[in-house]
Amino acid sequence: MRAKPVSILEGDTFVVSDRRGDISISPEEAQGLFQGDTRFLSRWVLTVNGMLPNPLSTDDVNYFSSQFFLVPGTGTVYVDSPMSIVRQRAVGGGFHEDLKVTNHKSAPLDLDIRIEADADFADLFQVKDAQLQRAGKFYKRVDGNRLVLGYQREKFVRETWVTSSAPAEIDEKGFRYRVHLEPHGEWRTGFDVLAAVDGTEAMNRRPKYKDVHDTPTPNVGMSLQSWKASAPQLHTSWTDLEKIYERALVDLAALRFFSPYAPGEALPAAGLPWFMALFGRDSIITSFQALPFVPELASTTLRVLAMRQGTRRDDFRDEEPGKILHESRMGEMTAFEERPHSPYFGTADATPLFLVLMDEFEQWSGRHDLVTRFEAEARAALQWIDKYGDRDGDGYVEYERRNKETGLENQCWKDSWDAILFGDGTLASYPIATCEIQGYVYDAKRRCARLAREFWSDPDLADRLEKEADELKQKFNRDFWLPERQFFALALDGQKRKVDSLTSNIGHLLWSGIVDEDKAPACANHLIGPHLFSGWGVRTMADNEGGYNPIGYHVGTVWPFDTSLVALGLRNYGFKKEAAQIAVADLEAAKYFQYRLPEAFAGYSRAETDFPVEYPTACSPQAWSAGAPLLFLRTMLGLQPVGDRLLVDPAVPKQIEWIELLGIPGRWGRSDAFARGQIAV
Amino acid sequence: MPTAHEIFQLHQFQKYEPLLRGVTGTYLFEIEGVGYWFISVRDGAISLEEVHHDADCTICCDEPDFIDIIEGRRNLITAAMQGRVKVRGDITLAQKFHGLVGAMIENTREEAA
Repeated sequence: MRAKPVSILEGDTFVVSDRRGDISISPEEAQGLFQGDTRFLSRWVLTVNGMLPNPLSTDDVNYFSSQFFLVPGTGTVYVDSPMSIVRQRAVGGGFHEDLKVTNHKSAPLDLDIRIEADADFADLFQVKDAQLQRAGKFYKRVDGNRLVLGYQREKFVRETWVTSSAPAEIDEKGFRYRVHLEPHGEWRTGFDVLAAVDGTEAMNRRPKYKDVHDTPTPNVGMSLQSWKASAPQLHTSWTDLEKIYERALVDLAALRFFSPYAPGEALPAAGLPWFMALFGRDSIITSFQALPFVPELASTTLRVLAMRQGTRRDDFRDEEPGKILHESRMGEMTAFEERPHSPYFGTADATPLFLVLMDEFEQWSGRHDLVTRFEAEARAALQWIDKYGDRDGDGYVEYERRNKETGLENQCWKDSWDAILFGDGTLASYPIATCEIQGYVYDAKRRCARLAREFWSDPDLADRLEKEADELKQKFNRDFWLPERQFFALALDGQKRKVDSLTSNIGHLLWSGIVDEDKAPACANHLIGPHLFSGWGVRTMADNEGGYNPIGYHVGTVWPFDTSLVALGLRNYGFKKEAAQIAVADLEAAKYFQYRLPEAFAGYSRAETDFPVEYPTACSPQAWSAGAPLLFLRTMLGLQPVGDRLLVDPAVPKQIEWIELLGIPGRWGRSDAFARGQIAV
Repeated sequence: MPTAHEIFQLHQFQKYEPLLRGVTGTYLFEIEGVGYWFISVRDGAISLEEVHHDADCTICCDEPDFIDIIEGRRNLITAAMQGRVKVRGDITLAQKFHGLVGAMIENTREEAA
């Protein structure tokens, strides 16, 4: 098994290297320095006297820095290495790396130290699909003490600038140092590697880290501390939960990025390494999960998504007026319209979820300025639901991609091509109306009715939205319900057939509130029953369905964010014990992932395995997985804004003796929650 | 195909653009080899001059690209990503301009339908 790569990140810049700190590309691993969906460094290899050093240990010092302790190979375990090599790297606007070589012997050493550098400027889509044929031209040059690696396609120019603090022989392949080390002597250099856009200095960001007293000094270090300090303080008898909470906050801090559309304010990127970009659905749900903890994410997410709302019909981008974007990318393939992500609008749920978050944000924060400022965008989103979302006028939002080549086939959260399956495992036909999207629409209309009445001075709109929501609920409970199986169909397909698989989506329906009270107990029983509940969380698809696969991306794995919304849904319908049960189960799984819940893990039953099994290509950290422990805490503590007060109504399992969450921010200022574990699960 | 002059002339006497309600800021359009147009927007009220002034947002490109963007054949965002269009200053204003063009094209399409 290959050693896990080392990843450090800040904003949309990240570095993936091997355990030596080297970067080299292979079909198996996507290593490199990435920024703006472009690989600015595809080779960065250190050799000493022509040999690759051996790694002793590697530390992820922080999410934005790492250090690598290395020694040259001696060929035998009986001979100690005469020297050690330390590489310290910090990422941000490129990266800074300090290299230190120490002679531990009483005799001098003469060394030939070399760093090889190269860049393929591949778009992240090309890296992911291992398609590296390029339309532009590469160039390299040495400008004084700077090595410039470049790529140009028409007026599209990307460059990597590398400088060394110690004098070096520089050629187009890298840097070379002929070093004489006195006994017990030391040699150092520092590299600045800068990702340069358009090849003009004025357009480029500066590296965020400098060589100060030989130690990289992160200029976001304080902001991480401030970030953590601004969040509520968690104390609990379950120390693992404290570690999970700390990890979640740090991961959310790591995944923050700063959009030019909201300078100085952060919103969450979706996940490392493939999704370090703005995603409508992911940013909205992460912000929702994090509202009682770090509410600023929601404010920025709403602002940026509102500013980039769709304004035209554009089949290539699946854009329509009022629609909220799915994904925004910056790489070459997007720039030249070989991919539609500038931005791409292929999502049918981000628009109602945007409205849900807008209302939830106001309820928690009391900040109605944002609700007022984006009234026009909210109305446009409501109009999209009725005019474009409901494609055939049947009262349900359905999707079918207009971009047949590079658009997404499934435009719900389960967006892999084979996610929407009948119980016998056959694919549903398009257009598809998934059940949870109807729930989101119901919720959005209910919530916007409140906003219209309280902030937009439009009681007529409020009345209309409430009427439409009521009608949708009634119709939905009739058309999607499977009386013989006692749960809601996953979807209606293109022939309006009920897609009859049992899936976690029914938990989203509870979260949305669209489920009739008399149908909720059956849904709850399924969600905690043996077919959906694995013992570690709720499977995306029940294990007795024809399409089930425990390592199928959306057809059997457990997604922590999914389980977190299911838990809140159960709780909202009064199933406190069931909500606590699945919350604790998922949190227990985090222990086996270094206290960090991954994007997804396999759906094998807990009876089969004492530990949750990894899903092979899961992103980690992943924003809405980092948000999941926060929503589990909210659910178990029963946190809910009621007017200007915070309601605390705990339902904590007995195995957690006590929890205190201090300084919960909101329209009340700061408030505390205390709970004792009293529920047997 | 219209020229940049003709496009700006068409909007010279327009005093209010409802699609820019809530938007306040200044634009400078720098059309390479053709001229400069300065547009001031105050909550939808607009004024346009053929003059070079510093602006909150400068959009610089050649004339064919500008016309293609205005008429919906080229996307401002990808043109900027390709380096065909240089956007300096407040990118949110550039985004508003992109949205305005989209909405105008959409209105024209709906009227035609």
